[in-house]
Amino acid sequence: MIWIFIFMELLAFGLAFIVFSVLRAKSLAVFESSQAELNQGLALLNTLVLVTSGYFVVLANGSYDSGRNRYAARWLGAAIALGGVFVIVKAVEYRDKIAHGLTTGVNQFFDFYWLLTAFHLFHVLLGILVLTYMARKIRKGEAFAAEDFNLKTGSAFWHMCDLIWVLLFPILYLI
Amino acid sequence: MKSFIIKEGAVWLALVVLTVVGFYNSGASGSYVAYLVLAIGLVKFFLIFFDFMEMKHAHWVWQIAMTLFMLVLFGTISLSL
Repeated sequence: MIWIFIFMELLAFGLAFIVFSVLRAKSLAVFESSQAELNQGLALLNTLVLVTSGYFVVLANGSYDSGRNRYAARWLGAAIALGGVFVIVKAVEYRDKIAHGLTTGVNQFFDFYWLLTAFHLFHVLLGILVLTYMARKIRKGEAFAAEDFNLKTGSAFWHMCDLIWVLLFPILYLI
Repeated sequence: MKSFIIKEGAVWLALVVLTVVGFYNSGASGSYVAYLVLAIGLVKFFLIFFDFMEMKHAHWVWQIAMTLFMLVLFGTISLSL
């Protein structure tokens, strides 16, 4: 079930990226000048943060599979902390954009910037909640009730946030 | 567990290096740059998808479907550059 959900999410983002690219080709000057207003350094930092949190989630799964539940909960805690760092960095970026009046309605680039990054941020926040729930269950030594909602599926959701960001980063910030 | 940490750590390191390489190349001039940055993004996607998400153990239909989808997506974006 989670794979169908992930595939649908990637499909939705993928279609948005295609529309973004077509509009970019039509108004290249506007898109390039708008992209120059973005903070690529913060986006790079957030990419490294998210990729590292993904690695911690992988280690949590490895620990859990080998029966080291305490380590699994700790790795999840580290991943959640990095998720928090991602949110803080994104908030700093948003504050800067709002201060400069670069909100929705300025042009098509910023419409997509807000739509894509805010929708992704919503997924990250949801992912933090999911990982927190997983870590809590593991720390308490409770078994996962449903086969469709366990550490593997929760981790897959977090990796999906990672996947979307590694697509979003080059398309929105770099090219 | 130690070999697992090292193996997955190598994937993580590859992701970090590719991220930094893509970032610094994006500032370079040349028509190839955008394609290079996109290609790096695609490689990172597959590293996370097949290794971190363990999709290398998934049914081949999922693997083929996602690979085709990503190739179509990146192909379409490349055409618009």
